[in-house]
Amino acid sequence: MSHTDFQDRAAVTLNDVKLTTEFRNAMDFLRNKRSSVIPSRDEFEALAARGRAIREEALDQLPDLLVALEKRCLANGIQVHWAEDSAQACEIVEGIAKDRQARSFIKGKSMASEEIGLNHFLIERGYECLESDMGEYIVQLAGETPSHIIMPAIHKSKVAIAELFAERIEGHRYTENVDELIGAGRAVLREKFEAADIGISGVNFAVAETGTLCLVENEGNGRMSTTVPNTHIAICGIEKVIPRLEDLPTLLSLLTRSATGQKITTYVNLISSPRQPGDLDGPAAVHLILLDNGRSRIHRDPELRETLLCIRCGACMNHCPVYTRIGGHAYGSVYPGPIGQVVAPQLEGLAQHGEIVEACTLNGACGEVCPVGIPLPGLIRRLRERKRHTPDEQADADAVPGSGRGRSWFEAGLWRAWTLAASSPRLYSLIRLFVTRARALIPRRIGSWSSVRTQPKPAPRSLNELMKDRHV
Amino acid sequence: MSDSEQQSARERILDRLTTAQPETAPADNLPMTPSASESDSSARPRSAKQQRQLVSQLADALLASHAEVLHVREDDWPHTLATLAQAEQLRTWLCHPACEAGRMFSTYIGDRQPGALKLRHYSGEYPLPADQAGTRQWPDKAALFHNIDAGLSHATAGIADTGTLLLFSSPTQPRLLSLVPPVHAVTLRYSAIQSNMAECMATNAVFRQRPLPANIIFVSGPSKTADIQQTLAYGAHGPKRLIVMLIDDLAQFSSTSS
Repeated sequence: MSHTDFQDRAAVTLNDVKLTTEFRNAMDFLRNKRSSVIPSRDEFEALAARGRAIREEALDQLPDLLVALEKRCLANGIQVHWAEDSAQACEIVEGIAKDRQARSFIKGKSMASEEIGLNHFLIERGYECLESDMGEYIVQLAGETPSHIIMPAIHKSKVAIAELFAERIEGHRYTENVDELIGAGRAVLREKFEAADIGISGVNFAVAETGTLCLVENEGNGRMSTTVPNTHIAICGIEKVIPRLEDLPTLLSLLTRSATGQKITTYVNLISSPRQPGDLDGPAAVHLILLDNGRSRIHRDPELRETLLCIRCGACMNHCPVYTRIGGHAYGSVYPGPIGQVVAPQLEGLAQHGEIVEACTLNGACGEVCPVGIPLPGLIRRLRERKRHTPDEQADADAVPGSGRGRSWFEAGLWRAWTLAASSPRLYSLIRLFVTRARALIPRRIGSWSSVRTQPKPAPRSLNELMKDRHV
Repeated sequence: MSDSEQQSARERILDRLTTAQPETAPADNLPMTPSASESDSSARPRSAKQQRQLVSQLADALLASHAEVLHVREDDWPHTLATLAQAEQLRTWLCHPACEAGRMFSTYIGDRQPGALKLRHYSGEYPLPADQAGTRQWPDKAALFHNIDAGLSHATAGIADTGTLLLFSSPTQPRLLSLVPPVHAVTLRYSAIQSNMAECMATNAVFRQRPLPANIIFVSGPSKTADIQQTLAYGAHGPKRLIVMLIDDLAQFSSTSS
């Protein structure tokens, strides 16, 4: 039997007992922490309802809010750029670097920059670009990609990191002491913060009312990246804009509780302008890159628009039984887990990411924990439909890339035959008679279905016949 | 990208968002105003007793986040801090001379000259160590990263619920002072503590300024990470220690209401 790439990647984790234990423990840890900061179901639901209302309002007014954000940022001295896709966003970053004659970048954690492949792009063009979030740094040092959107190095054990540091950090001696390991990373990265020309960050929320970029973190590398270098570039998906400053407490509370089980992160960083006259520090220039990369198309699709409500907390993957078993890398997409199953096919197309849409048991856990009530199982099911056909009224430009490509004549024919049989009593009983009497002819193995399940076997006589015997 | 390409990227994105707008499916009936109930409480002035409850709530939350909390008086905290600094070998301190905390600590150090303590001022010129003659202008990154043991600043507001301190950037409140040195000491008045973030943002005039300060930081403990096998470690990139000095300024309250 031939395996697909996805199956091969999933098998890597599934066959590695240590790794599956790693993931299991990490997910249990995050889930327990989350429950510990959720006071009561009612209270959390009220908070979630407010959060959802804010995010809905933001999406309904998205173009107006983006224009308002741009206007406010410009007035505050933040330069605003618009990027339709990854290539444009990367080019804008390089353009700023050229203007400033910059050579080195230090990065705070940003999924948007992962999405546009910024590290790869900059390093290929001869720039130095280093991740400064401890998890991201570990992953970059190992030449890997993040396996979780909040805890990027969740797939690596302490021992693996100890070995990695001993091998790759000059002058560092092998130790499994976590404080010493963090200390070693701190020492390397502090030098880089001091020397870097440009700092790069993502944005958790962009406040239209005040032109404010809000970033949350525990380590302080986000503050370092946005404060020490003379230039700061923030990359922000266009859906991250929110209307008002007073919306922040609700959204921050939902985000940090759902993500890491904290009532608040160590640092909440609100950036509203570059260094002001008289200020002693802070970057002289702040650039905001508003990244579309497929989001405006999602926004036009009424059936899939709720995808954009996401605040990137990662609770859906922490609670997903599939993610917990196969890990983040199996998905083969920047965003893993349930939200990845919904986002990746829409951003990069069903041709590339169509298979992960099937990697779901529709158990509903993700939808239940989502702090802004995204119906993730519903969206996953809908994308399964889109894989098989594009809605009639949808223009090609608005369709999910690759939609309809997954249509198989065999599958479509089978459904048609079933419809026919189920709607004709005579045909149905004929088939039933055949299946019960000729059950010995059914093959012993039916593909991948029976590789992990007991082969179903039709009964010798149908229920209908048995009941007739009893004169019911 | 050229300016015109930028312009058209902007137009195309906005055009796609504007035309053929569906409404997001509403989820039941939802209250549209965020935090009305939370900010109601801010309208009522608190008694000294209630304010003290907030102080202990804030202190507990900070302690749980691995911060150190000292309850001090307005007139004696510089002495408390200098004693702690000497005991723990935190020799070189950095503050801004015109910030509230910096001014008081500077005066104390100037008067008492406690042995082995050095106080640098984050403004004007920075004198280089003895082996390198001369001076440099602040902000001197090398000095900040390598020659300072602790930074001292003042928090304008606090949030009891989450154990959070607010730092507003300004010419006298530089941003790196609370970030780069391995220890951050900070003063906060009892009276400046609000119960939650919504109330704090509603009552503090800074949030109504336009533009807002270049940078507002909510600090809720020392820098930390759990990125290695979910094991908590402090001092990931920012300060390893956060020393919070809570200044009791409720004397005028307590005589009347407790």
